[in-house]
Amino acid sequence: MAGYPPGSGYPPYGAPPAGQPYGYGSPYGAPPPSYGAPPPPYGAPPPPYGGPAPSAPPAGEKPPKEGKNQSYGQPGYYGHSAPPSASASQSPYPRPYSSGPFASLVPSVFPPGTDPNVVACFQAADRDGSGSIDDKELQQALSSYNQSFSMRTVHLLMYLFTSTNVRKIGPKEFTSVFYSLQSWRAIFERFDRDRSGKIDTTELREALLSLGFSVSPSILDLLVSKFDKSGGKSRAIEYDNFIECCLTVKGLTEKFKEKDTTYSGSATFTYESFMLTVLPFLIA
Amino acid sequence: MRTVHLLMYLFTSTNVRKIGPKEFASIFYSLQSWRAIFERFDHDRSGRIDTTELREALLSLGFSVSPPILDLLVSKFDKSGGKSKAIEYDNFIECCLTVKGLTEKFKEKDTKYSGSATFTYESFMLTVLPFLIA
Repeated sequence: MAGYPPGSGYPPYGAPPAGQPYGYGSPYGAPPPSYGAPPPPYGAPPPPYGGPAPSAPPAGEKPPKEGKNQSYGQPGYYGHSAPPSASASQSPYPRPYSSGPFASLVPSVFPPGTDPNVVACFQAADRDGSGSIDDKELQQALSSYNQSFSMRTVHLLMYLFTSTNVRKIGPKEFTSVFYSLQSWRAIFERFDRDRSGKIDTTELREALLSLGFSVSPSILDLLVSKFDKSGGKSRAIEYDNFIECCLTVKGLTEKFKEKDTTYSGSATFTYESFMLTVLPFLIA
Repeated sequence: MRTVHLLMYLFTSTNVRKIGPKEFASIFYSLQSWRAIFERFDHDRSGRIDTTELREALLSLGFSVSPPILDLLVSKFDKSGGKSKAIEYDNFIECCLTVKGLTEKFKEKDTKYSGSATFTYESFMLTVLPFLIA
Protein backbone atom coordinates (compact mmCIF):
# COMPACT_ATOMS: atom_id res chain seq x y z
CA MET A 1 0.00 0.00 0.00
CA ALA A 2 1.36 3.36 -0.91
CA GLY A 3 3.22 4.90 1.94
CA TYR A 4 3.23 1.89 4.23
CA PRO A 5 6.71 1.89 5.78
CA PRO A 6 8.52 -0.64 3.65
CA GLY A 7 10.71 -3.01 5.53
CA SER A 8 10.87 -1.02 8.72
CA GLY A 9 8.22 -3.10 10.37
CA TYR A 10 5.80 -1.68 12.82
CA PRO A 11 7.33 1.07 14.92
CA PRO A 12 7.30 -0.10 18.51
CA TYR A 13 6.51 2.50 21.09
CA GLY A 14 9.55 4.54 21.97
CA ALA A 15 11.75 3.40 19.13
CA PRO A 16 11.19 5.61 16.18
CA PRO A 17 12.39 4.09 12.94
CA ALA A 18 14.43 6.03 10.44
CA GLY A 19 11.98 8.58 9.32
CA GLN A 20 10.99 9.69 5.93
CA PRO A 21 9.35 13.05 5.51
CA TYR A 22 5.67 12.92 6.14
CA GLY A 23 4.10 13.10 2.79
CA TYR A 24 0.57 12.61 1.84
CA GLY A 25 1.85 13.54 -1.56
CA SER A 26 5.04 11.52 -1.41
CA PRO A 27 3.57 8.39 -2.94
CA TYR A 28 3.01 10.54 -5.96
CA GLY A 29 6.66 11.40 -6.24
CA ALA A 30 6.72 15.00 -5.10
CA PRO A 31 7.91 15.38 -1.52
CA PRO A 32 5.94 18.30 -0.11
CA PRO A 33 7.70 20.60 2.32
CA SER A 34 6.28 20.43 5.78
CA TYR A 35 4.09 23.43 6.22
CA GLY A 36 5.69 25.95 8.48
CA ALA A 37 8.97 25.04 10.15
CA PRO A 38 10.73 21.92 8.94
CA PRO A 39 9.90 18.96 11.13
CA PRO A 40 12.54 18.20 13.74
CA PRO A 41 14.21 14.83 13.35
CA TYR A 42 11.88 12.86 15.56
CA GLY A 43 12.25 10.02 13.14
CA ALA A 44 8.54 10.24 12.72
CA PRO A 45 6.85 7.06 11.69
CA PRO A 46 5.39 7.88 8.32
CA PRO A 47 1.72 7.25 8.76
CA PRO A 48 0.60 4.97 5.94
CA TYR A 49 -2.16 7.31 5.13
CA GLY A 50 -3.62 5.62 2.18
CA GLY A 51 -5.82 8.47 1.11
CA PRO A 52 -8.44 7.80 -1.49
CA ALA A 53 -6.47 5.05 -3.13
CA PRO A 54 -6.86 2.04 -0.89
CA SER A 55 -4.93 -1.07 -1.72
CA ALA A 56 -3.71 -4.10 0.14
CA PRO A 57 -0.25 -3.98 1.70
CA PRO A 58 2.58 -5.67 -0.14
CA ALA A 59 2.78 -9.33 0.65
CA GLY A 60 4.89 -10.14 3.64
CA GLU A 61 4.15 -7.03 5.62
CA LYS A 62 1.83 -7.67 8.47
CA PRO A 63 0.38 -5.43 11.12
CA PRO A 64 1.29 -6.32 14.67
CA LYS A 65 -0.56 -9.18 16.23
CA GLU A 66 -3.43 -8.72 18.59
CA GLY A 67 -1.24 -9.00 21.65
CA LYS A 68 0.75 -5.91 20.84
CA ASN A 69 -2.26 -3.65 20.67
CA GLN A 70 -3.62 -5.03 23.86
CA SER A 71 -0.43 -4.57 25.76
CA TYR A 72 -1.39 -0.94 26.24
CA GLY A 73 -4.32 -1.90 28.31
CA GLN A 74 -7.06 -1.09 25.89
CA PRO A 75 -8.63 -3.81 23.85
CA GLY A 76 -9.23 -1.20 21.22
CA TYR A 77 -9.65 -2.37 17.72
CA TYR A 78 -9.70 -6.09 18.29
CA GLY A 79 -12.35 -5.62 20.90
CA HIS A 80 -14.28 -8.46 22.20
CA SER A 81 -14.26 -11.01 19.44
CA ALA A 82 -12.58 -14.40 19.60
CA PRO A 83 -8.97 -14.59 18.35
CA PRO A 84 -9.36 -13.42 14.81
CA SER A 85 -6.86 -15.84 13.35
CA ALA A 86 -8.87 -18.79 14.59
CA SER A 87 -12.10 -17.62 13.13
CA ALA A 88 -10.42 -16.61 9.91
CA SER A 89 -9.14 -20.10 9.32
CA GLN A 90 -12.42 -21.70 10.21
CA SER A 91 -14.66 -19.51 8.15
CA PRO A 92 -12.87 -17.76 5.36
CA TYR A 93 -14.64 -14.64 4.31
CA PRO A 94 -17.11 -15.65 1.64
CA ARG A 95 -16.33 -14.27 -1.75
CA PRO A 96 -19.24 -15.20 -3.88
CA TYR A 97 -18.76 -12.32 -6.25
CA SER A 98 -15.08 -12.39 -6.95
CA SER A 99 -15.73 -13.65 -10.46
CA GLY A 100 -18.55 -13.67 -12.90
CA PRO A 101 -20.62 -10.97 -14.49
CA PHE A 102 -21.61 -9.37 -11.22
CA ALA A 103 -18.13 -8.65 -9.93
CA SER A 104 -18.18 -5.02 -10.94
CA LEU A 105 -21.57 -4.38 -9.44
CA VAL A 106 -21.10 -5.50 -5.86
CA PRO A 107 -18.92 -4.20 -3.05
CA SER A 108 -15.26 -4.87 -3.50
CA VAL A 109 -13.75 -8.00 -2.06
CA PHE A 110 -10.47 -8.51 -0.31
CA PRO A 111 -7.65 -8.89 -2.77
CA PRO A 112 -5.66 -12.09 -2.46
CA GLY A 113 -2.86 -11.76 0.05
CA THR A 114 -4.78 -9.55 2.45
CA ASP A 115 -3.74 -10.21 6.00
CA PRO A 116 -6.21 -12.63 7.57
CA ASN A 117 -6.37 -10.39 10.63
CA VAL A 118 -7.85 -7.64 8.49
CA VAL A 119 -10.35 -9.99 6.91
CA ALA A 120 -11.33 -11.36 10.29
CA CYS A 121 -11.77 -7.91 11.76
CA PHE A 122 -13.96 -6.98 8.85
CA GLN A 123 -16.03 -10.07 9.40
CA ALA A 124 -16.36 -9.40 13.09
CA ALA A 125 -17.34 -5.81 12.48
CA ASP A 126 -19.88 -6.61 9.78
CA ARG A 127 -22.50 -7.75 12.20
CA ASP A 128 -25.37 -7.95 9.78
CA GLY A 129 -23.27 -9.80 7.24
CA SER A 130 -24.14 -7.31 4.57
CA GLY A 131 -20.69 -7.36 3.00
CA SER A 132 -20.06 -3.75 3.90
CA ILE A 133 -19.60 -1.97 7.16
CA ASP A 134 -21.88 0.91 8.01
CA ASP A 135 -21.10 3.70 10.44
CA LYS A 136 -22.68 2.05 13.47
CA GLU A 137 -20.83 -1.18 12.87
CA LEU A 138 -17.55 0.62 12.51
CA GLN A 139 -18.19 2.63 15.64
CA GLN A 140 -18.91 -0.53 17.59
CA ALA A 141 -15.81 -2.22 16.28
CA LEU A 142 -13.66 0.73 17.30
CA SER A 143 -15.17 1.28 20.72
CA SER A 144 -13.69 -0.50 23.65
CA TYR A 145 -15.16 -1.52 26.95
CA ASN A 146 -14.37 1.79 28.55
CA GLN A 147 -14.61 4.25 25.72
CA SER A 148 -16.89 4.86 22.82
CA PHE A 149 -15.45 6.00 19.55
CA SER A 150 -17.15 9.15 18.40
CA MET A 151 -19.52 8.90 15.46
CA ARG A 152 -18.09 12.10 14.07
CA THR A 153 -14.68 10.52 13.69
CA VAL A 154 -16.31 7.47 12.09
CA HIS A 155 -18.03 9.72 9.56
CA LEU A 156 -14.86 11.66 8.86
CA LEU A 157 -12.93 8.46 8.27
CA MET A 158 -15.62 7.16 5.95
CA TYR A 159 -15.71 10.43 4.05
CA LEU A 160 -11.94 10.51 3.63
CA PHE A 161 -11.66 6.90 2.52
CA THR A 162 -14.60 6.85 0.15
CA SER A 163 -14.62 10.48 -1.00
CA THR A 164 -18.40 10.33 -0.70
CA ASN A 165 -21.01 10.91 1.93
CA VAL A 166 -22.19 7.31 1.76
CA ARG A 167 -21.61 5.93 5.21
CA LYS A 168 -20.54 2.43 4.34
CA ILE A 169 -17.19 0.93 3.55
CA GLY A 170 -16.28 -2.21 1.68
CA PRO A 171 -13.34 -4.55 2.17
CA LYS A 172 -10.82 -2.50 0.24
CA GLU A 173 -11.59 0.72 2.04
CA PHE A 174 -11.72 -1.13 5.34
CA THR A 175 -8.19 -2.36 4.79
CA SER A 176 -6.97 1.20 4.35
CA VAL A 177 -8.87 2.40 7.37
CA PHE A 178 -7.45 -0.46 9.38
CA TYR A 179 -3.85 0.35 8.63
CA SER A 180 -4.36 4.06 9.03
CA LEU A 181 -5.90 3.54 12.42
CA GLN A 182 -2.94 1.44 13.47
CA SER A 183 -0.55 4.21 12.64
CA TRP A 184 -2.75 6.79 14.33
CA ARG A 185 -2.80 4.57 17.40
CA ALA A 186 0.99 4.43 17.34
CA ILE A 187 1.29 8.17 17.00
CA PHE A 188 -1.17 8.75 19.82
CA GLU A 189 0.65 6.44 22.14
CA ARG A 190 3.98 7.85 21.20
CA PHE A 191 2.96 11.37 22.06
CA ASP A 192 0.82 10.65 25.10
CA ARG A 193 4.00 10.88 27.12
CA ASP A 194 2.40 10.97 30.52
CA ARG A 195 0.13 8.03 29.61
CA SER A 196 -2.90 9.96 30.62
CA GLY A 197 -4.95 8.55 27.75
CA LYS A 198 -5.29 12.09 26.50
CA ILE A 199 -3.15 14.42 24.48
CA ASP A 200 -2.72 17.91 25.86
CA THR A 201 -1.64 21.05 24.03
CA THR A 202 2.08 20.43 24.36
CA GLU A 203 1.81 16.81 23.28
CA LEU A 204 -0.45 17.82 20.39
CA ARG A 205 2.07 20.34 19.18
CA GLU A 206 4.74 17.65 19.08
CA ALA A 207 2.43 15.15 17.42
CA LEU A 208 1.51 17.62 14.69
CA LEU A 209 5.17 18.61 14.25
CA SER A 210 6.10 14.99 13.76
CA LEU A 211 3.46 14.80 11.07
CA GLY A 212 5.01 17.79 9.40
CA PHE A 213 2.57 20.43 10.55
CA SER A 214 3.81 23.41 12.45
CA VAL A 215 0.88 25.19 14.02
CA SER A 216 0.93 28.28 16.16
CA PRO A 217 -0.16 28.34 19.81
CA SER A 218 -3.43 30.09 18.92
CA ILE A 219 -4.35 27.35 16.51
CA LEU A 220 -3.31 24.70 19.03
CA ASP A 221 -5.51 26.20 21.73
CA LEU A 222 -8.40 26.34 19.33
CA LEU A 223 -7.89 22.72 18.32
CA VAL A 224 -7.71 21.50 21.89
CA SER A 225 -10.80 23.43 22.91
CA LYS A 226 -12.76 22.18 19.90
CA PHE A 227 -11.80 18.56 20.33
CA ASP A 228 -11.81 18.33 24.11
CA LYS A 229 -14.81 16.22 25.05
CA SER A 230 -15.07 17.79 28.46
CA GLY A 231 -15.90 21.12 26.85
CA GLY A 232 -12.57 22.69 27.66
CA LYS A 233 -12.09 21.57 31.23
CA SER A 234 -9.43 18.95 30.81
CA ARG A 235 -7.78 20.79 27.92
CA ALA A 236 -6.78 17.53 26.38
CA ILE A 237 -7.95 15.31 23.55
CA GLU A 238 -8.90 11.66 23.67
CA TYR A 239 -7.89 9.10 21.07
CA ASP A 240 -10.87 9.30 18.72
CA ASN A 241 -10.93 13.08 18.68
CA PHE A 242 -7.16 13.09 18.28
CA ILE A 243 -7.57 11.20 15.03
CA GLU A 244 -10.23 13.65 13.92
CA CYS A 245 -8.10 16.61 14.95
CA CYS A 246 -5.07 15.38 13.01
CA LEU A 247 -7.13 14.46 9.98
CA THR A 248 -8.75 17.88 10.01
CA VAL A 249 -5.45 19.74 10.30
CA LYS A 250 -3.97 17.55 7.62
CA GLY A 251 -6.96 17.92 5.32
CA LEU A 252 -7.30 21.67 5.68
CA THR A 253 -3.57 22.24 5.35
CA GLU A 254 -3.39 20.20 2.19
CA LYS A 255 -6.30 22.07 0.68
CA PHE A 256 -4.58 25.30 1.60
CA LYS A 257 -1.34 24.16 0.05
CA GLU A 258 -3.14 23.34 -3.18
CA LYS A 259 -3.91 27.02 -3.46
CA ASP A 260 -0.53 28.21 -2.24
CA THR A 261 1.50 27.02 -5.17
CA THR A 262 4.41 29.34 -4.48
CA TYR A 263 4.73 28.17 -0.87
CA SER A 264 4.45 31.75 0.19
CA GLY A 265 2.26 31.07 3.20
CA SER A 266 -0.68 32.83 1.59
CA ALA A 267 -3.36 31.36 -0.61
CA THR A 268 -6.10 32.90 -2.65
CA PHE A 269 -9.53 31.33 -2.79
CA THR A 270 -12.58 32.21 -4.81
CA TYR A 271 -15.75 32.21 -2.72
CA GLU A 272 -16.82 28.98 -4.41
CA SER A 273 -13.59 27.13 -3.78
CA PHE A 274 -13.43 28.45 -0.23
CA MET A 275 -16.87 27.09 0.62
CA LEU A 276 -16.34 23.82 -1.23
CA THR A 277 -13.02 23.34 0.55
CA VAL A 278 -14.23 24.08 4.04
CA LEU A 279 -17.73 22.63 4.16
CA PRO A 280 -16.75 18.94 3.87
CA PHE A 281 -14.88 19.31 7.12
CA LEU A 282 -18.02 20.32 8.96
CA ILE A 283 -18.84 16.82 9.94
CA ALA A 284 -22.41 16.06 10.84
CA MET B 1 -26.12 20.39 20.90
CA ARG B 2 -23.96 21.37 17.96
CA THR B 3 -26.39 24.14 17.05
CA VAL B 4 -26.44 25.24 20.69
CA HIS B 5 -22.66 25.47 20.73
CA LEU B 6 -22.59 27.35 17.46
CA LEU B 7 -25.14 29.86 18.72
CA MET B 8 -23.16 30.38 21.91
CA TYR B 9 -19.94 30.86 19.98
CA LEU B 10 -21.50 33.39 17.63
CA PHE B 11 -23.18 35.37 20.38
CA THR B 12 -20.28 35.41 22.81
CA SER B 13 -17.32 35.24 20.41
CA THR B 14 -15.73 32.81 22.84
CA ASN B 15 -15.72 29.09 23.49
CA VAL B 16 -17.24 29.53 26.93
CA ARG B 17 -20.51 27.65 26.78
CA LYS B 18 -22.61 29.93 28.90
CA ILE B 19 -24.68 32.99 28.10
CA GLY B 20 -25.93 35.79 30.28
CA PRO B 21 -29.15 37.81 30.07
CA LYS B 22 -27.97 40.18 27.35
CA GLU B 23 -26.74 37.44 25.06
CA PHE B 24 -29.84 35.42 25.74
CA ALA B 25 -32.03 38.30 24.62
CA SER B 26 -30.12 38.50 21.32
CA ILE B 27 -30.43 34.78 20.78
CA PHE B 28 -34.13 34.90 21.59
CA TYR B 29 -34.84 37.47 18.91
CA SER B 30 -32.54 35.81 16.41
CA LEU B 31 -34.27 32.49 16.88
CA GLN B 32 -37.62 34.14 16.30
CA SER B 33 -36.46 35.46 12.97
CA TRP B 34 -34.88 32.11 12.06
CA ARG B 35 -38.17 30.41 12.87
CA ALA B 36 -40.00 32.86 10.64
CA ILE B 37 -37.56 32.28 7.79
CA PHE B 38 -37.81 28.52 8.16
CA GLU B 39 -41.57 28.57 8.05
CA ARG B 40 -41.61 30.98 5.19
CA PHE B 41 -39.45 28.78 3.01
CA ASP B 42 -40.80 25.38 4.00
CA HIS B 43 -43.35 25.76 1.23
CA ASP B 44 -44.68 22.24 1.32
CA ARG B 45 -44.90 22.27 5.15
CA SER B 46 -42.86 19.13 5.32
CA GLY B 47 -41.06 20.31 8.47
CA ARG B 48 -37.87 20.17 6.46
CA ILE B 49 -36.14 22.39 3.97
CA ASP B 50 -34.95 20.74 0.78
CA THR B 51 -32.33 21.94 -1.65
CA THR B 52 -34.65 24.22 -3.63
CA GLU B 53 -36.17 25.76 -0.53
CA LEU B 54 -32.70 26.21 0.96
CA ARG B 55 -31.50 28.07 -2.09
CA GLU B 56 -34.40 30.49 -1.77
CA ALA B 57 -33.91 30.89 1.97
CA LEU B 58 -30.23 31.69 1.53
CA LEU B 59 -31.01 34.07 -1.31
CA SER B 60 -33.44 35.93 0.89
CA LEU B 61 -30.68 36.26 3.47
CA GLY B 62 -28.45 37.72 0.82
CA PHE B 63 -26.34 34.66 0.03
CA SER B 64 -26.20 33.33 -3.47
CA VAL B 65 -24.71 29.86 -3.39
CA SER B 66 -24.08 27.55 -6.29
CA PRO B 67 -25.71 24.13 -6.71
CA PRO B 68 -22.58 22.20 -5.66
CA ILE B 69 -22.42 24.16 -2.43
CA LEU B 70 -26.16 23.66 -1.88
CA ASP B 71 -25.86 19.91 -2.37
CA LEU B 72 -22.94 19.79 0.03
CA LEU B 73 -24.86 21.78 2.65
CA VAL B 74 -27.93 19.59 2.40
CA SER B 75 -25.91 16.39 2.62
CA LYS B 76 -23.92 17.65 5.59
CA PHE B 77 -26.92 18.88 7.53
CA ASP B 78 -29.39 16.17 6.63
CA LYS B 79 -29.94 14.17 9.81
CA SER B 80 -30.95 11.10 7.90
CA GLY B 81 -27.45 10.91 6.47
CA GLY B 82 -28.44 11.96 3.00
CA LYS B 83 -31.62 9.96 2.52
CA SER B 84 -34.24 12.64 2.82
CA LYS B 85 -32.03 15.31 1.26
CA ALA B 86 -33.63 17.90 3.46
CA ILE B 87 -32.77 19.80 6.61
CA GLU B 88 -34.72 20.05 9.83
CA TYR B 89 -35.20 23.24 11.81
CA ASP B 90 -32.21 23.06 14.16
CA ASN B 91 -29.80 22.07 11.45
CA PHE B 92 -31.33 24.73 9.21
CA ILE B 93 -30.29 27.35 11.75
CA GLU B 94 -26.83 25.86 11.92
CA CYS B 95 -26.58 25.68 8.15
CA CYS B 96 -27.56 29.32 7.71
CA LEU B 97 -25.33 30.49 10.51
CA THR B 98 -22.42 28.57 9.02
CA VAL B 99 -22.95 30.01 5.55
CA LYS B 100 -23.40 33.47 7.01
CA GLY B 101 -20.35 33.16 9.27
CA LEU B 102 -18.01 31.74 6.64
CA THR B 103 -19.17 34.19 4.00
CA GLU B 104 -18.63 37.15 6.29
CA LYS B 105 -15.15 35.94 7.17
CA PHE B 106 -14.45 35.54 3.50
CA LYS B 107 -15.68 39.03 2.74
CA GLU B 108 -13.41 40.46 5.42
CA LYS B 109 -10.54 39.25 3.29
CA ASP B 110 -12.06 40.18 -0.02
CA THR B 111 -12.02 43.91 0.41
CA LYS B 112 -12.33 44.60 -3.29
CA TYR B 113 -15.42 42.42 -3.71
CA SER B 114 -13.59 40.59 -6.44
CA GLY B 115 -14.89 37.20 -5.42
CA SER B 116 -11.42 36.10 -4.40
CA ALA B 117 -9.76 36.39 -1.03
CA THR B 118 -6.26 35.75 0.14
CA PHE B 119 -5.59 34.06 3.46
CA THR B 120 -2.39 33.36 5.29
CA TYR B 121 -2.21 29.83 6.66
CA GLU B 122 -2.72 31.18 10.15
CA SER B 123 -5.79 33.24 9.34
CA PHE B 124 -7.23 30.42 7.23
CA MET B 125 -7.02 27.94 10.09
CA LEU B 126 -8.21 30.43 12.70
CA THR B 127 -11.16 31.37 10.50
CA VAL B 128 -12.28 27.88 9.64
CA LEU B 129 -11.66 25.88 12.80
CA PRO B 130 -14.30 27.60 14.97
CA PHE B 131 -16.95 26.39 12.55
CA LEU B 132 -15.99 22.77 13.00
CA ILE B 133 -18.12 22.46 16.05
CA ALA B 134 -17.49 19.74 18.56
